[in-house]
Amino acid sequence: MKKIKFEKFTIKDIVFLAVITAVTLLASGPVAPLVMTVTKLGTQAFAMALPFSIFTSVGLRKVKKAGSLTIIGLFSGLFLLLMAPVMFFNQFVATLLSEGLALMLFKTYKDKITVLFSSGLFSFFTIPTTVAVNILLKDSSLSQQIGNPITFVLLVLGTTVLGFLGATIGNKIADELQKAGKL
Amino acid sequence: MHRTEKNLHPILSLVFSLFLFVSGLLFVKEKWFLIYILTFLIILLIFRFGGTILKIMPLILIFGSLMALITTINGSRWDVLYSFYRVFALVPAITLSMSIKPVHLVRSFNQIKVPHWISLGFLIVIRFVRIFLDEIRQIRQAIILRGIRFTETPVLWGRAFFIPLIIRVLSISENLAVSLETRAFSTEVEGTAYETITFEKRNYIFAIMSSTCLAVYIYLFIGGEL
Amino acid sequence: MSISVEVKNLSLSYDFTEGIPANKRMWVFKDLNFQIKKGEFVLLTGFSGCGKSSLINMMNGVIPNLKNAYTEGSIYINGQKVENTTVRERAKHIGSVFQNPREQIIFDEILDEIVFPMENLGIDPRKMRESLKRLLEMTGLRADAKTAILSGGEKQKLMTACTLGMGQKVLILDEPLANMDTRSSEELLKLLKRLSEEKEYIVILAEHRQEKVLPYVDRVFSFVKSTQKNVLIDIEIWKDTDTYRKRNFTGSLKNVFKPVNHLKENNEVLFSIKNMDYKIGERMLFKDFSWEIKRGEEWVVLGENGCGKTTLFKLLNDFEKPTSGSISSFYSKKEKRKKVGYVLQNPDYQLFMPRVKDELYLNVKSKDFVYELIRVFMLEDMLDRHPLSLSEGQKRKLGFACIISNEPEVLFLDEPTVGLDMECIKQLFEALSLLRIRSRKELTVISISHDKRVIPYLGNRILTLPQD
Repeated sequence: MKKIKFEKFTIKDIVFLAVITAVTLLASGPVAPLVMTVTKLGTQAFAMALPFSIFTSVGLRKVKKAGSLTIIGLFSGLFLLLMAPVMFFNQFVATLLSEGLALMLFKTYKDKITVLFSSGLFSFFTIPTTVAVNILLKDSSLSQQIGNPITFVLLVLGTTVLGFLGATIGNKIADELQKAGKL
Repeated sequence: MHRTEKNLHPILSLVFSLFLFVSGLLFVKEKWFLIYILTFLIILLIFRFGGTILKIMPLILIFGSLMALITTINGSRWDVLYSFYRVFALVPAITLSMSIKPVHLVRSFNQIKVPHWISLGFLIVIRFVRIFLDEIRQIRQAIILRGIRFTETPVLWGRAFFIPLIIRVLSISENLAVSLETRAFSTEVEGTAYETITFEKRNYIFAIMSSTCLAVYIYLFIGGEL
Repeated sequence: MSISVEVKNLSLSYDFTEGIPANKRMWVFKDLNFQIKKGEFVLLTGFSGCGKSSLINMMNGVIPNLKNAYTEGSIYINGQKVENTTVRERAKHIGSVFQNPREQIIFDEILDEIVFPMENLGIDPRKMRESLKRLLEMTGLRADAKTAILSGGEKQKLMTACTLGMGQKVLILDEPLANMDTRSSEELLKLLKRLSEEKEYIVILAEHRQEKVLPYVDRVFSFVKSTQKNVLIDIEIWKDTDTYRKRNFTGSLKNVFKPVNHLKENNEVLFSIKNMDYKIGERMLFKDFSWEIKRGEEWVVLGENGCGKTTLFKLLNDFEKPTSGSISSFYSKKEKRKKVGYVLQNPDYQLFMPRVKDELYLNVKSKDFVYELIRVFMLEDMLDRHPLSLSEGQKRKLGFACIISNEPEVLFLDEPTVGLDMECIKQLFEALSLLRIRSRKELTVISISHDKRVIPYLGNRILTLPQD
C-alpha cells in the first residue's frame, strides 16, 4: 500500500511557493471588495474559489511535495495576519484540511488527481472554518449564518464547482508549460 | 546595535492585535463597548499611534457604514448598529498590526527561533505582492498591444493573461532562489543578526496597561460587576 | 595562497538521453581548460545562448545544485576542488551578481538588503557595520533609502554591494549592464576595475555589449561555434584585447545596412505632446514637456536610466495619463490598437500561444509577409514548437516578428537589441527594412536604445531626455 511520503523542502521550493502565494493573493484582489462587503456565509469562498485553485494547482504541480498547499496557506495566512488576524486560521486550517484529505485519498502529488482535489477543495473548507470563527467570535448561530438554506446550498455547490474548475484550468496550464519544458 | 524605533516590539504588537481583534468582536453587544474602544484608543494615543489611527479611520468609517447599510435590508436597528460596531471594533487591532515593520517581525521571529524558511517566505510574499501588481499591469498592457479583448475572445484573453503571468512567476522565483542561495541563505545554518529587536521599557508598560484594561473588560463580559 | 580559479577538462551537456555514450552526447562545451589568476578582470562574451551563463552557473554551483545538467571535469578555487560543494559553500569563495536586480531584492530598506548575506555567513555584527559603511561609501547608496524607489542602475549597485559585503575575492557577474545606462555602467565597471587592480579581486564578467567592457578587461574569453563534432561551443582566449577588438568589430552593421537618413517634411502629425507635466509620487519626471512626431519620422529616445523613456512610450500609448498638459494623437484609441505596434523589452509578456506559428499568424494582415519574417529570423524549424521552449534570443525575435507581422503604421521599440548578438541584430534590421519597404517609407519608428552600435540604424532624429 502506498504511503504519504514527506520530503524536505529546498530553498527553491519555498521561494516558488511564496511567490505563487503572492500572486494568488493578488489575483483574489479584484474580488476582495465583494468578499469584504458581503457577509453571507459562503460568498467569500465562492468568490475566491476560482483564482485560488488556478494558482495553487500550478504551485502543486511544480512542488509535488506533501505539505506544499499547507505552506501556501501558512504564507497567505501570515500575510493576512497583519490585516485581519483571524484570517490566518481560516487560510491555514482550510489548506491543512484540503491537503490532508487529498493526500489521505491519493497519497502523492505525482498524480494529477491529488492536485485537483487538494486545490479544488480548499475554498470549500474555508466555509466550516468561517462558521467556527463566527460562532466563537460573533456569537452567531449556525442557522443564523446559513440564512436561506437554498442560497447556502447553491453557494457551497458553486464554490466546489469553481474550485474544481480552477484546479482543472491550473492543471491544463501546468501540462502545457511542462511540455514547453518550463515546469 | 538596535534601531531606535517608536514602535512596540513586533511580537507584542502581533499578540495584542490578535487579543484586541477577538475581544473587540466579542464585546460588540455590550453596553460599555464604546468605553472599551475609547480606552484602547487612549492607550494607543499615549503610545504615539495617533498617525496610524488617523490613516485607517476613513476606511473604517466607510467600510463600517457600508456594512451597516447592507444590514438595513433585513436587520433591526440594533443589528445595523452592531454591524457598524463590528468594523469599528477592529480599529485597535488594525492599528497595532499596521505599525509592525515586516523586517522587524522577521528579525523577532528569528530571535525566537521560528524557522528561517517561514520568515523568508513571509518577506517574499509581502515584497512580491507589490512586484506582481506591476507585472499584472504590464501583462494587461501587453494583451491590449496584441489586440486581444476580453469581450471578443475571452478564452484567448485568458491564455494571454495566465500563461505570461505563470511564466513570470517561474522565472522570477527561479532567479530569486538562485540569488538567495548565492547570497549564502540557508534554511539549516543559523547566521548572525545585524541588530537585535529588544524589549524596551515602554513595551512592559504597554503590556501591563493593556492587559489590566483587557482583564477588567473580560471580567465585565463574564458577568462581573464593578 | 594566491587566489585563483582553475578549470580542468570542464564539460557540460543538457542531453539527458539515458545510457548515451560520451562521444554521442551533445555537449554545450567539452574539455574546457583555463586558469584565472588574482587581480585579473576577464570578459566572457559570445552570441545569444552560447553558454556564458551556464559556465558561470557551473562556477558558482547553481549547476548542478539548482539546475539539472550533465557535467564532467573539475573546478578549483584557490587550489581546492569545489564541484561537489553546495551553492552556499561556494558562496563563501565566489560572489555572484545577476541581471534583473528588481527580482532579487526582498527587503524594504537598503541596509537590510546589504547585511542579509553577511548575516547568512555568520559575520560578526561589528564587522558587518564596518563593511556596511564602506559599501555605502563605495556605491553612494543611503542605508535608510527604500529599495522600491531605486532606479535600475541603483538596484544593480545594491546587489553588487550585497555580494561585495560577503568578502569573496572572486566575483562573477552575469550581464549586469543589460539594463543600465552609460553612466551607471561606467561607474560599475570602474568599481570592478579598481577592485581587481587595487585589491586583487578576480572579476569574471559576462556581457554582450563588449565595446563597453573591453577597455577595462585584461583578457577576453570569446565563446565561438565549435568545430568539433557533437560540441556546440569552443572558447577562444584573447590576451590582447586590442587585437580582439580589431578582429571582431569589423563585421558589424555598417557593412550590411545604411544608417537612416531620409527626412520627411510636411507630413501629418501623429502624436503631439503639449506642455506636459508628469509626476510619479513626489518625483516630477516631465516638466512642461512638448514633442511632435510626424508620419514617416524615425526617432531614437535616449537618456539615463530612470529618466522616463519607457514612461514616455506608455504615455503615448494611453497606458499612463499626464498630470497636466495634453497628448493628442492622429489615431483614435481603437485605431491605435490596429495601427500602432509596440515591442516590449521582455518578450515573455507578449507570447502566449501554444505554437510559434499560432503566435505569428495571430491578427496577421498578410501571410506573405509572415513567410518573409520566418525566413529572415530563421524560424522555419521552430514553427511547431512552443514559443516558451525557445531560447531568450529566439523569443525576442519572435516577439518582434509578431508585432511587425501586423504591419503597423507606427512602431515603438523598447530596447530591441538587448541580449541579442550581432547575427540576431542583423536579422532584426533586415525585418525592419522589409517593413519600411511595405509601408512605402511611411513607417514611423520610435525607439529606445542604450546600444550605441545600433542607434544610427534605428532613427535619424534624437530625443535626449534629461536626468532630473
